[in-house]
Amino acid sequence: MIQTSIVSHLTLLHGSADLVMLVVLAWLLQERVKYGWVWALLSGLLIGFISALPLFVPLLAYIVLYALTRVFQQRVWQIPMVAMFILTVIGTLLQHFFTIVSLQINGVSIVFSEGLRLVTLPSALLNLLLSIPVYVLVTDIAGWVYPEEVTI
Amino acid sequence: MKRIIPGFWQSGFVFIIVIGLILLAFSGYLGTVLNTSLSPLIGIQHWISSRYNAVYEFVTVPRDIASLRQRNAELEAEVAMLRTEVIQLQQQLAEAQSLYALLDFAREQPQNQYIACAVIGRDPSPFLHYIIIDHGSDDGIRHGMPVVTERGLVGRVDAVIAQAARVQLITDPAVSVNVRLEKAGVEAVLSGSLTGDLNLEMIPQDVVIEPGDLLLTSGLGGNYPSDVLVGQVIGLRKRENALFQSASVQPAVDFSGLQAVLVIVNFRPVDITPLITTTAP
Repeated sequence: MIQTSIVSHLTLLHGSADLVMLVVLAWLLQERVKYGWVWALLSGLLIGFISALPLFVPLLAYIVLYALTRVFQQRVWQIPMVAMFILTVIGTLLQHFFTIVSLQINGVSIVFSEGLRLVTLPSALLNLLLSIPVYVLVTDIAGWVYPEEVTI
Repeated sequence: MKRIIPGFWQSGFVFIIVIGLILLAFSGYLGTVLNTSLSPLIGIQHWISSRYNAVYEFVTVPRDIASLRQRNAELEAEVAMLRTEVIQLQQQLAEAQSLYALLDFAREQPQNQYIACAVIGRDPSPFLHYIIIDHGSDDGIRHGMPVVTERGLVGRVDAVIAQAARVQLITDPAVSVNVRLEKAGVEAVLSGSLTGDLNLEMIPQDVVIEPGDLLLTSGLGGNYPSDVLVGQVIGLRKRENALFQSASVQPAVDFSGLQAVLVIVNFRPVDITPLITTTAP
């Protein structure tokens, strides 16, 4: 709801931030979160339901993002903020790539370079700016939902 | 007797001196003398007064500052509250003006039946130009119904659920609208783009178009009713060796500030796809 009513209005050139993707990424990067793939799948379905994009586009993008998150958790687990930054950029590029391809398959003429320059790069910048507060907020929520076990 | 006379002369002398001084003062001859003699006194008076005021302020001002600060805080809070009220009232006024404009438009077009809807969201993908409205199939909204405002054409309903619907704007890159140039009376095709700019294409080379020419829907294709204002030409692109000329179009509707729209519910779009002949392999 926040994404469609507020964040979609906040644009840079023709790009806008993707709050759902950022929240999902930040949630998937939490160590104690179990069944992260369920959240990725649900988010993909939800976006596919709201958006006019073909359902498989956000679904595929979120599944790939989940797989990438698992890889990054194993590689750069000590610095989750860096993983968040890298995944934010990759996630934006990935989603927009899938979108452009699906639109072109459906006969919509979109110039790839124009899409990259006017939409994808500004969106990636906005997502990077938002990724910090989103990660901090989601980390706090994760700490509240999954309290750390204390051995007595 | 001897003691009375000197007293009398003494008093008379003083009386005469006083009367003389008064007469001199009234006549203005004593001004210079008085000024010269009083200026040190005035200086002393000024010094005493300023010292007294300084001491008085030193004693009383701290209390005044505290009370002034409190009063200032109260007034600032009041100003903030009034500003909030002003903003709320301005928003309500803008909303009311928008609704009045839609109502006037609906009254002027009695042949159409409208449902007024509020815009409650936009498509999450920045590549697509769609809005979400707060009425759906429960209110009689169906797929394909045209959407307008008092200014002109907005788009058409693309998907419907019970209590909401998704509207594809005419600025969407996947949209093509059959339009007619009002002045030239020629049909052309209007298409959206990634940036939200509208392009007019398929205009014959021999047609003369000028910036400011109005575009209306032609009704061809059966997707939109005819004679709905779409926008106006702002720039022309003409190449000698091309079959058609094209133009940039300024939409009549401000899509960035869209708050309320009207759905034309008595217009049924016609699907002419089966009638379009395809070349046999």
